[in-house]
Amino acid sequence: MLTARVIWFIIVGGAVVSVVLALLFRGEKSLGTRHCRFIEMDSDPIPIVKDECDDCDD
Amino acid sequence: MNVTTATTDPALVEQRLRPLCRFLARYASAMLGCGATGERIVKNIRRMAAVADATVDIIILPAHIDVSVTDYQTGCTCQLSRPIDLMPVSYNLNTLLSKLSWKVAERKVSLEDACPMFDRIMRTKPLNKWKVMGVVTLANASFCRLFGGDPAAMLIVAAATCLGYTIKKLMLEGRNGLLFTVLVCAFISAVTASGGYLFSLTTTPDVALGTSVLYLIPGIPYINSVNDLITGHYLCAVGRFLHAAMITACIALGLTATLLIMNLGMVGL
Amino acid sequence: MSIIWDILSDGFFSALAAIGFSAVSNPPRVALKWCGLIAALGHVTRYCLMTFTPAGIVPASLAGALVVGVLAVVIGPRLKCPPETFSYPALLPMIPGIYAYRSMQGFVMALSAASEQEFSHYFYVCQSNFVTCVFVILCMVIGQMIPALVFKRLTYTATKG
Repeated sequence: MLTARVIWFIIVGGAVVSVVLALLFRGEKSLGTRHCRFIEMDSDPIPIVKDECDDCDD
Repeated sequence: MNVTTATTDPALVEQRLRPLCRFLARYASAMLGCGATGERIVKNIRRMAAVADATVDIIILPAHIDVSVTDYQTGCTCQLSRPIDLMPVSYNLNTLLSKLSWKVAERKVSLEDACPMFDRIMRTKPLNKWKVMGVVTLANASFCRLFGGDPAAMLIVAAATCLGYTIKKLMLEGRNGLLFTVLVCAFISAVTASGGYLFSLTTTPDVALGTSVLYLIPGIPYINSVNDLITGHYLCAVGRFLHAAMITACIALGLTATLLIMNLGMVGL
Repeated sequence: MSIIWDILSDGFFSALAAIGFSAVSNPPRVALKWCGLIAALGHVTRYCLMTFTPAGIVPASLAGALVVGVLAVVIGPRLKCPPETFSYPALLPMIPGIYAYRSMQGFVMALSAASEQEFSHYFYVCQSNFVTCVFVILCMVIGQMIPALVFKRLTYTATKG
Protein backbone atom coordinates (compact mmCIF):
# COMPACT_ATOMS: atom_id res chain seq x y z
CA MET A 1 0.00 0.00 0.00
CA LEU A 2 2.83 2.42 0.85
CA THR A 3 4.58 1.69 -2.44
CA ALA A 4 1.31 2.24 -4.32
CA ARG A 5 0.79 5.55 -2.53
CA VAL A 6 4.32 6.68 -3.42
CA ILE A 7 3.77 5.74 -7.04
CA TRP A 8 0.43 7.60 -6.95
CA PHE A 9 2.08 10.78 -5.69
CA ILE A 10 4.84 10.54 -8.28
CA ILE A 11 2.46 10.05 -11.21
CA VAL A 12 -0.24 12.52 -10.20
CA GLY A 13 2.27 15.08 -8.93
CA GLY A 14 4.26 14.79 -12.12
CA ALA A 15 1.13 15.22 -14.22
CA VAL A 16 0.01 18.31 -12.30
CA VAL A 17 3.48 19.89 -12.50
CA SER A 18 3.69 19.14 -16.25
CA VAL A 19 0.27 20.69 -16.84
CA VAL A 20 1.13 23.82 -14.88
CA LEU A 21 4.46 24.24 -16.68
CA ALA A 22 2.85 23.61 -20.06
CA LEU A 23 0.13 26.20 -19.39
CA LEU A 24 2.68 28.78 -18.22
CA PHE A 25 5.15 28.30 -21.06
CA ARG A 26 3.02 27.38 -24.08
CA GLY A 27 2.95 30.98 -25.35
CA GLU A 28 0.53 32.44 -27.87
CA LYS A 29 -1.09 29.79 -29.93
CA SER A 30 -1.86 30.72 -33.50
CA LEU A 31 -5.57 30.58 -34.00
CA GLY A 32 -5.08 29.87 -37.67
CA THR A 33 -8.16 30.94 -39.51
CA ARG A 34 -10.53 30.43 -36.55
CA HIS A 35 -11.02 34.08 -35.71
CA CYS A 36 -14.55 34.79 -36.86
CA ARG A 37 -17.44 35.16 -34.48
CA PHE A 38 -20.20 32.63 -34.23
CA ILE A 39 -22.37 32.82 -37.35
CA GLU A 40 -26.13 32.54 -37.28
CA MET A 41 -27.12 31.30 -40.72
CA ASP A 42 -30.66 32.61 -40.55
CA SER A 43 -29.51 36.16 -39.88
CA ASP A 44 -27.13 36.10 -42.81
CA PRO A 45 -29.38 36.63 -45.83
CA ILE A 46 -27.00 37.15 -48.70
CA PRO A 47 -23.29 36.45 -48.30
CA ILE A 48 -20.85 39.12 -49.26
CA VAL A 49 -18.15 37.77 -51.50
CA LYS A 50 -15.09 39.56 -50.14
CA ASP A 51 -12.17 37.54 -51.47
CA GLU A 52 -11.65 34.92 -54.07
CA CYS A 53 -11.80 31.45 -52.64
CA ASP A 54 -8.30 30.01 -53.19
CA ASP A 55 -9.45 26.43 -53.44
CA CYS A 56 -12.24 27.22 -55.86
CA ASP A 57 -9.95 28.88 -58.40
CA ASP A 58 -8.64 26.67 -61.16
CA MET B 1 -27.89 7.85 -62.86
CA ASN B 2 -26.48 5.54 -65.56
CA VAL B 3 -24.89 7.35 -68.42
CA THR B 4 -24.32 4.94 -71.31
CA THR B 5 -23.29 7.38 -74.01
CA ALA B 6 -21.10 9.83 -72.13
CA THR B 7 -19.45 12.44 -74.26
CA THR B 8 -16.59 14.61 -73.18
CA ASP B 9 -16.60 18.30 -73.77
CA PRO B 10 -13.43 19.69 -72.21
CA ALA B 11 -14.73 23.23 -72.15
CA LEU B 12 -17.89 22.22 -70.29
CA VAL B 13 -15.97 20.08 -67.81
CA GLU B 14 -13.50 22.87 -67.10
CA GLN B 15 -16.06 25.61 -66.83
CA ARG B 16 -18.77 24.06 -64.73
CA LEU B 17 -18.13 20.62 -63.38
CA ARG B 18 -14.62 20.85 -61.94
CA PRO B 19 -15.30 23.78 -59.54
CA LEU B 20 -18.59 22.15 -58.57
CA CYS B 21 -16.90 18.80 -57.98
CA ARG B 22 -14.15 20.46 -55.95
CA PHE B 23 -16.67 22.34 -53.80
CA LEU B 24 -18.82 19.25 -53.22
CA ALA B 25 -15.74 17.20 -52.29
CA ARG B 26 -14.66 19.84 -49.77
CA TYR B 27 -18.20 20.03 -48.43
CA ALA B 28 -18.56 16.27 -48.08
CA SER B 29 -15.13 15.97 -46.47
CA ALA B 30 -15.99 18.66 -43.93
CA MET B 31 -19.38 17.07 -43.15
CA LEU B 32 -17.70 13.72 -42.55
CA GLY B 33 -15.04 15.33 -40.40
CA CYS B 34 -17.59 17.08 -38.21
CA GLY B 35 -19.50 13.84 -37.57
CA ALA B 36 -22.48 13.89 -39.92
CA THR B 37 -24.08 10.61 -40.90
CA GLY B 38 -23.47 9.20 -44.39
CA GLU B 39 -27.12 9.56 -45.36
CA ARG B 40 -27.24 13.25 -44.46
CA ILE B 41 -24.09 13.97 -46.47
CA VAL B 42 -25.45 12.22 -49.56
CA LYS B 43 -28.76 14.06 -49.38
CA ASN B 44 -27.09 17.44 -48.85
CA ILE B 45 -24.68 17.21 -51.78
CA ARG B 46 -27.27 15.75 -54.15
CA ARG B 47 -29.58 18.63 -53.28
CA MET B 48 -26.87 21.13 -54.23
CA ALA B 49 -25.77 19.27 -57.36
CA ALA B 50 -29.37 19.22 -58.64
CA VAL B 51 -29.30 23.02 -58.80
CA ALA B 52 -26.50 22.75 -61.37
CA ASP B 53 -28.40 20.14 -63.40
CA ALA B 54 -25.99 17.47 -62.28
CA THR B 55 -26.02 14.35 -60.19
CA VAL B 56 -23.38 13.33 -57.71
CA ASP B 57 -22.27 9.97 -56.34
CA ILE B 58 -19.89 9.55 -53.45
CA ILE B 59 -17.86 6.68 -52.10
CA ILE B 60 -17.06 7.13 -48.42
CA LEU B 61 -13.81 5.37 -47.56
CA PRO B 62 -12.29 5.26 -44.06
CA ALA B 63 -9.79 8.06 -44.72
CA HIS B 64 -10.88 9.44 -48.09
CA ILE B 65 -13.93 10.47 -50.03
CA ASP B 66 -14.46 9.99 -53.74
CA VAL B 67 -16.90 12.37 -55.43
CA SER B 68 -18.17 11.94 -58.97
CA VAL B 69 -20.33 14.65 -60.61
CA THR B 70 -22.21 13.91 -63.84
CA ASP B 71 -23.95 16.50 -65.99
CA TYR B 72 -27.55 15.50 -66.80
CA GLN B 73 -27.63 16.75 -70.35
CA THR B 74 -24.24 15.86 -71.81
CA GLY B 75 -23.21 13.03 -69.49
CA CYS B 76 -19.83 14.66 -68.85
CA THR B 77 -18.27 13.41 -65.65
CA CYS B 78 -15.76 14.86 -63.23
CA GLN B 79 -14.28 12.80 -60.42
CA LEU B 80 -12.25 13.89 -57.41
CA SER B 81 -10.72 12.17 -54.39
CA ARG B 82 -10.08 14.03 -51.17
CA PRO B 83 -8.90 13.04 -47.70
CA ILE B 84 -11.47 13.40 -44.94
CA ASP B 85 -10.88 16.51 -42.83
CA LEU B 86 -9.61 15.58 -39.38
CA MET B 87 -11.50 17.70 -36.88
CA PRO B 88 -13.43 17.26 -33.65
CA VAL B 89 -17.14 16.42 -33.89
CA SER B 90 -19.10 19.63 -34.30
CA TYR B 91 -22.87 19.67 -34.56
CA ASN B 92 -22.70 23.42 -35.03
CA LEU B 93 -20.81 22.95 -38.30
CA ASN B 94 -23.15 20.09 -39.22
CA THR B 95 -26.16 22.39 -38.73
CA LEU B 96 -24.66 25.35 -40.57
CA LEU B 97 -23.49 23.23 -43.52
CA SER B 98 -26.91 21.55 -43.77
CA LYS B 99 -28.58 24.97 -43.78
CA LEU B 100 -26.18 26.06 -46.54
CA SER B 101 -27.27 23.11 -48.68
CA TRP B 102 -30.92 24.14 -48.30
CA LYS B 103 -30.13 27.76 -49.16
CA VAL B 104 -28.41 26.57 -52.33
CA ALA B 105 -31.25 24.17 -53.18
CA GLU B 106 -33.86 26.89 -52.71
CA ARG B 107 -31.69 29.22 -54.87
CA LYS B 108 -31.36 31.80 -52.07
CA VAL B 109 -27.60 31.39 -52.49
CA SER B 110 -25.90 30.67 -55.80
CA LEU B 111 -23.30 27.94 -56.12
CA GLU B 112 -20.65 30.62 -56.77
CA ASP B 113 -21.51 32.33 -53.48
CA ALA B 114 -21.73 29.02 -51.62
CA CYS B 115 -17.95 28.54 -51.68
CA PRO B 116 -17.00 31.68 -49.70
CA MET B 117 -19.97 31.06 -47.41
CA PHE B 118 -18.63 27.55 -46.80
CA ASP B 119 -15.23 29.04 -45.88
CA ARG B 120 -16.87 31.42 -43.41
CA ILE B 121 -18.76 28.55 -41.82
CA MET B 122 -15.56 26.50 -41.46
CA ARG B 123 -13.93 29.44 -39.64
CA THR B 124 -16.69 29.56 -37.01
CA LYS B 125 -15.25 29.75 -33.52
CA PRO B 126 -15.93 26.69 -31.32
CA LEU B 127 -17.12 26.95 -27.71
CA ASN B 128 -14.56 28.26 -25.21
CA LYS B 129 -12.41 25.25 -24.35
CA TRP B 130 -12.08 26.08 -20.66
CA LYS B 131 -15.84 26.40 -20.28
CA VAL B 132 -16.16 23.06 -22.07
CA MET B 133 -13.66 21.56 -19.61
CA GLY B 134 -15.74 22.81 -16.70
CA VAL B 135 -18.92 21.35 -18.13
CA VAL B 136 -17.24 18.02 -18.98
CA THR B 137 -15.91 17.79 -15.42
CA LEU B 138 -19.46 18.29 -14.09
CA ALA B 139 -20.79 15.79 -16.61
CA ASN B 140 -18.36 13.04 -15.63
CA ALA B 141 -19.06 13.65 -11.95
CA SER B 142 -22.77 13.30 -12.78
CA PHE B 143 -22.00 10.00 -14.51
CA CYS B 144 -20.39 8.83 -11.30
CA ARG B 145 -23.56 9.73 -9.41
CA LEU B 146 -25.72 7.92 -11.98
CA PHE B 147 -23.67 4.76 -11.50
CA GLY B 148 -24.13 4.89 -7.74
CA GLY B 149 -21.09 6.83 -6.56
CA ASP B 150 -21.13 8.79 -3.34
CA PRO B 151 -20.29 12.54 -3.17
CA ALA B 152 -16.63 11.81 -2.36
CA ALA B 153 -16.38 9.60 -5.44
CA MET B 154 -17.92 12.39 -7.49
CA LEU B 155 -15.24 14.82 -6.28
CA ILE B 156 -12.49 12.32 -7.09
CA VAL B 157 -13.92 11.80 -10.57
CA ALA B 158 -14.18 15.56 -11.07
CA ALA B 159 -10.51 16.01 -10.16
CA ALA B 160 -9.44 13.11 -12.38
CA THR B 161 -11.49 14.43 -15.31
CA CYS B 162 -10.19 17.98 -14.90
CA LEU B 163 -6.58 16.81 -14.95
CA GLY B 164 -7.08 14.31 -17.76
CA TYR B 165 -9.04 16.70 -20.00
CA THR B 166 -6.44 19.45 -19.56
CA ILE B 167 -3.67 17.03 -20.51
CA LYS B 168 -5.71 15.91 -23.52
CA LYS B 169 -6.14 19.49 -24.73
CA LEU B 170 -2.45 20.28 -24.27
CA MET B 171 -1.25 17.09 -25.95
CA LEU B 172 -3.56 17.51 -28.94
CA GLU B 173 -2.46 21.14 -29.32
CA GLY B 174 1.11 19.85 -29.29
CA ARG B 175 0.27 17.66 -32.30
CA ASN B 176 0.62 14.39 -30.43
CA GLY B 177 -1.20 11.42 -31.95
CA LEU B 178 -4.80 10.93 -30.82
CA LEU B 179 -4.36 7.31 -29.73
CA PHE B 180 -1.24 8.04 -27.66
CA THR B 181 -2.98 11.06 -26.12
CA VAL B 182 -6.01 8.97 -25.15
CA LEU B 183 -3.77 6.29 -23.64
CA VAL B 184 -1.88 8.82 -21.52
CA CYS B 185 -5.04 10.65 -20.42
CA ALA B 186 -6.81 7.42 -19.48
CA PHE B 187 -3.80 6.36 -17.45
CA ILE B 188 -3.49 9.70 -15.63
CA SER B 189 -7.22 9.95 -14.92
CA ALA B 190 -7.40 6.37 -13.68
CA VAL B 191 -4.34 6.79 -11.47
CA THR B 192 -5.83 9.96 -9.98
CA ALA B 193 -9.12 8.17 -9.32
CA SER B 194 -7.32 5.20 -7.76
CA GLY B 195 -6.63 7.55 -4.86
CA GLY B 196 -10.11 6.56 -3.70
CA TYR B 197 -8.80 3.06 -3.05
CA LEU B 198 -5.38 4.02 -1.73
CA PHE B 199 -6.45 6.69 0.74
CA SER B 200 -9.91 5.24 1.55
CA LEU B 201 -11.57 8.49 0.57
CA THR B 202 -14.85 6.98 -0.64
CA THR B 203 -17.14 4.04 -0.02
CA THR B 204 -17.51 3.45 -3.78
CA PRO B 205 -13.91 3.51 -5.10
CA ASP B 206 -14.71 1.08 -7.92
CA VAL B 207 -17.36 3.44 -9.33
CA ALA B 208 -14.94 6.36 -9.11
CA LEU B 209 -12.23 4.40 -10.95
CA GLY B 210 -14.61 3.09 -13.60
CA THR B 211 -16.20 6.46 -14.39
CA SER B 212 -12.99 8.51 -14.28
CA VAL B 213 -12.18 7.63 -17.90
CA LEU B 214 -15.69 7.81 -19.37
CA TYR B 215 -15.14 11.33 -20.73
CA LEU B 216 -12.75 9.77 -23.26
CA ILE B 217 -15.25 7.22 -24.62
CA PRO B 218 -16.05 8.05 -28.28
CA GLY B 219 -19.80 7.60 -27.94
CA ILE B 220 -20.79 9.68 -30.97
CA PRO B 221 -18.68 7.71 -33.51
CA TYR B 222 -20.16 4.44 -32.20
CA ILE B 223 -23.70 5.76 -32.60
CA ASN B 224 -22.85 7.16 -36.04
CA SER B 225 -21.42 3.83 -37.15
CA VAL B 226 -24.63 1.97 -36.27
CA ASN B 227 -26.65 4.64 -38.06
CA ASP B 228 -24.47 4.24 -41.17
CA LEU B 229 -24.81 0.45 -40.94
CA ILE B 230 -28.61 0.68 -40.96
CA THR B 231 -28.69 3.18 -43.83
CA GLY B 232 -26.37 1.05 -45.99
CA HIS B 233 -23.07 2.99 -45.78
CA TYR B 234 -21.15 -0.09 -44.70
CA LEU B 235 -17.61 1.11 -45.39
CA CYS B 236 -18.25 4.33 -43.52
CA ALA B 237 -19.78 2.36 -40.64
CA VAL B 238 -16.82 0.00 -40.38
CA GLY B 239 -14.32 2.87 -40.63
CA ARG B 240 -16.01 4.82 -37.86
CA PHE B 241 -16.46 1.73 -35.69
CA LEU B 242 -12.79 0.75 -35.99
CA HIS B 243 -11.65 4.29 -35.22
CA ALA B 244 -13.85 4.33 -32.10
CA ALA B 245 -12.75 0.80 -31.17
CA MET B 246 -9.08 1.83 -31.36
CA ILE B 247 -9.74 4.74 -28.99
CA THR B 248 -11.65 2.43 -26.64
CA ALA B 249 -8.78 -0.06 -26.70
CA CYS B 250 -6.37 2.73 -25.69
CA ILE B 251 -8.69 3.68 -22.82
CA ALA B 252 -8.83 0.05 -21.72
CA LEU B 253 -5.03 -0.19 -21.92
CA GLY B 254 -4.62 2.92 -19.78
CA LEU B 255 -7.08 1.57 -17.23
CA THR B 256 -5.44 -1.85 -17.21
CA ALA B 257 -1.99 -0.29 -16.71
CA THR B 258 -3.37 1.57 -13.70
CA LEU B 259 -4.89 -1.58 -12.21
CA LEU B 260 -1.63 -3.47 -12.64
CA ILE B 261 0.75 -0.71 -11.48
CA MET B 262 -1.40 0.23 -8.51
CA ASN B 263 -1.97 -3.46 -7.77
CA LEU B 264 -5.65 -2.89 -7.19
CA GLY B 265 -7.86 -5.80 -6.24
CA MET B 266 -10.96 -6.45 -8.35
CA VAL B 267 -13.95 -5.73 -6.16
CA GLY B 268 -17.22 -7.53 -6.62
CA LEU B 269 -16.26 -10.07 -9.27
CA MET C 1 -41.65 11.18 -1.65
CA SER C 2 -38.25 9.53 -1.84
CA ILE C 3 -39.33 7.91 -5.12
CA ILE C 4 -40.04 11.33 -6.60
CA TRP C 5 -36.73 12.62 -5.28
CA ASP C 6 -34.91 9.65 -6.84
CA ILE C 7 -36.59 10.23 -10.18
CA LEU C 8 -35.85 13.95 -10.12
CA SER C 9 -32.23 13.48 -9.15
CA ASP C 10 -31.82 10.81 -11.85
CA GLY C 11 -33.19 13.24 -14.40
CA PHE C 12 -31.08 16.13 -13.12
CA PHE C 13 -27.78 14.28 -13.19
CA SER C 14 -28.44 12.71 -16.59
CA ALA C 15 -29.29 16.18 -17.94
CA LEU C 16 -26.02 17.50 -16.54
CA ALA C 17 -24.09 14.60 -18.07
CA ALA C 18 -25.76 15.09 -21.46
CA ILE C 19 -25.08 18.84 -21.49
CA GLY C 20 -21.45 18.22 -20.62
CA PHE C 21 -20.84 15.64 -23.30
CA SER C 22 -22.89 17.60 -25.77
CA ALA C 23 -20.58 20.58 -25.17
CA VAL C 24 -17.64 18.46 -26.34
CA SER C 25 -19.42 18.01 -29.70
CA ASN C 26 -19.75 21.78 -30.26
CA PRO C 27 -23.51 21.95 -30.67
CA PRO C 28 -25.37 25.12 -31.66
CA ARG C 29 -25.72 27.07 -28.41
CA VAL C 30 -29.49 26.94 -28.52
CA ALA C 31 -29.36 23.13 -28.50
CA LEU C 32 -27.52 22.68 -25.20
CA LYS C 33 -30.47 23.01 -22.84
CA TRP C 34 -32.70 20.87 -25.08
CA CYS C 35 -30.05 18.11 -25.05
CA GLY C 36 -30.25 18.12 -21.27
CA LEU C 37 -34.04 18.02 -21.22
CA ILE C 38 -34.28 15.19 -23.75
CA ALA C 39 -31.61 13.21 -21.93
CA ALA C 40 -33.41 13.68 -18.62
CA LEU C 41 -36.72 12.45 -20.02
CA GLY C 42 -35.13 9.44 -21.72
CA HIS C 43 -33.11 8.46 -18.68
CA VAL C 44 -36.07 8.89 -16.32
CA THR C 45 -38.14 6.65 -18.62
CA ARG C 46 -35.47 3.95 -18.41
CA TYR C 47 -35.14 4.39 -14.65
CA CYS C 48 -38.89 4.13 -14.06
CA LEU C 49 -39.21 1.03 -16.25
CA MET C 50 -36.32 -0.68 -14.49
CA THR C 51 -37.54 0.29 -11.00
CA PHE C 52 -41.31 -0.12 -11.25
CA THR C 53 -41.69 -2.85 -13.87
CA PRO C 54 -40.01 -6.23 -14.43
CA ALA C 55 -38.31 -4.83 -17.55
CA GLY C 56 -34.56 -5.46 -17.71
CA ILE C 57 -31.92 -2.98 -18.79
CA VAL C 58 -32.15 -3.90 -22.50
CA PRO C 59 -35.89 -3.25 -23.09
CA ALA C 60 -35.81 -0.30 -20.70
CA SER C 61 -32.93 1.26 -22.65
CA LEU C 62 -34.82 0.69 -25.90
CA ALA C 63 -37.85 2.49 -24.49
CA GLY C 64 -35.73 5.36 -23.17
CA ALA C 65 -33.99 5.70 -26.52
CA LEU C 66 -37.38 5.74 -28.30
CA VAL C 67 -38.44 8.67 -26.13
CA VAL C 68 -35.15 10.44 -26.96
CA GLY C 69 -35.61 9.77 -30.67
CA VAL C 70 -39.20 11.04 -30.78
CA LEU C 71 -38.37 14.22 -28.87
CA ALA C 72 -35.32 14.89 -31.07
CA VAL C 73 -37.37 14.53 -34.28
CA VAL C 74 -40.03 16.89 -32.87
CA ILE C 75 -37.66 19.54 -31.53
CA GLY C 76 -35.05 19.46 -34.32
CA PRO C 77 -37.12 21.12 -37.04
CA ARG C 78 -38.37 23.77 -34.61
CA LEU C 79 -34.80 24.84 -33.83
CA LYS C 80 -33.60 24.18 -37.38
CA CYS C 81 -31.01 21.64 -36.22
CA PRO C 82 -30.51 18.04 -37.31
CA PRO C 83 -32.24 15.76 -34.76
CA GLU C 84 -29.00 13.89 -34.10
CA THR C 85 -27.67 17.12 -32.52
CA PHE C 86 -29.99 16.36 -29.58
CA SER C 87 -30.42 12.61 -29.70
CA TYR C 88 -26.79 11.46 -29.83
CA PRO C 89 -25.55 13.40 -26.78
CA ALA C 90 -28.80 12.55 -24.97
CA LEU C 91 -28.02 8.84 -25.38
CA LEU C 92 -24.60 9.12 -23.78
CA PRO C 93 -25.80 9.08 -20.13
CA MET C 94 -27.58 5.79 -20.89
CA ILE C 95 -24.44 4.03 -22.09
CA PRO C 96 -23.80 1.19 -19.59
CA GLY C 97 -20.25 2.06 -18.69
CA ILE C 98 -20.22 -0.14 -15.62
CA TYR C 99 -20.86 -3.26 -17.73
CA ALA C 100 -17.99 -2.34 -20.03
CA TYR C 101 -15.75 -1.73 -17.02
CA ARG C 102 -16.66 -5.05 -15.37
CA SER C 103 -16.12 -6.79 -18.70
CA MET C 104 -12.63 -5.38 -18.87
CA GLN C 105 -11.96 -6.20 -15.24
CA GLY C 106 -13.01 -9.80 -15.88
CA PHE C 107 -10.74 -10.02 -18.92
CA VAL C 108 -7.71 -8.74 -16.97
CA MET C 109 -8.42 -11.13 -14.09
CA ALA C 110 -8.88 -14.03 -16.52
CA LEU C 111 -5.42 -13.34 -17.96
CA SER C 112 -3.85 -13.70 -14.53
CA ALA C 113 -6.02 -16.63 -13.39
CA ALA C 114 -4.19 -19.44 -11.64
CA SER C 115 -6.60 -22.30 -12.37
CA GLU C 116 -9.08 -23.36 -15.04
CA GLN C 117 -12.01 -22.80 -12.70
CA GLU C 118 -10.87 -19.28 -11.89
CA PHE C 119 -10.27 -18.56 -15.59
CA SER C 120 -13.74 -19.85 -16.51
CA HIS C 121 -15.37 -17.72 -13.82
CA TYR C 122 -13.63 -14.49 -14.85
CA PHE C 123 -14.11 -15.20 -18.56
CA TYR C 124 -17.82 -15.74 -17.90
CA VAL C 125 -17.91 -12.37 -16.10
CA CYS C 126 -16.13 -10.76 -19.07
CA GLN C 127 -18.43 -12.32 -21.68
CA SER C 128 -21.72 -11.76 -19.88
CA ASN C 129 -21.00 -8.11 -19.14
CA PHE C 130 -19.70 -7.52 -22.67
CA VAL C 131 -22.76 -9.07 -24.31
CA THR C 132 -25.10 -7.04 -22.07
CA CYS C 133 -23.19 -3.86 -22.84
CA VAL C 134 -23.22 -4.44 -26.61
CA PHE C 135 -26.93 -5.28 -26.70
CA VAL C 136 -27.86 -2.28 -24.58
CA ILE C 137 -25.90 0.04 -26.87
CA LEU C 138 -27.38 -1.55 -30.00
CA CYS C 139 -30.92 -1.26 -28.65
CA MET C 140 -30.34 2.34 -27.64
CA VAL C 141 -29.09 3.33 -31.08
CA ILE C 142 -31.85 1.44 -32.88
CA GLY C 143 -34.42 2.91 -30.51
CA GLN C 144 -33.41 6.48 -31.27
CA MET C 145 -33.19 5.71 -34.99
CA ILE C 146 -36.72 4.31 -35.33
CA PRO C 147 -38.46 7.72 -35.11
CA ALA C 148 -35.82 9.20 -37.43
CA LEU C 149 -36.51 6.52 -40.04
CA VAL C 150 -40.31 6.67 -39.63
CA PHE C 151 -40.30 10.45 -39.96
CA LYS C 152 -37.49 10.48 -42.52
CA ARG C 153 -38.71 13.59 -44.31
CA LEU C 154 -38.85 15.54 -41.05
CA THR C 155 -35.36 14.33 -40.13
CA TYR C 156 -33.69 15.43 -43.35
CA THR C 157 -35.56 18.71 -43.84
CA ALA C 158 -34.99 19.91 -40.27
CA THR C 159 -32.47 22.57 -41.35
CA LYS C 160 -34.59 23.88 -44.21
CA GLY C 161 -34.91 27.65 -43.70
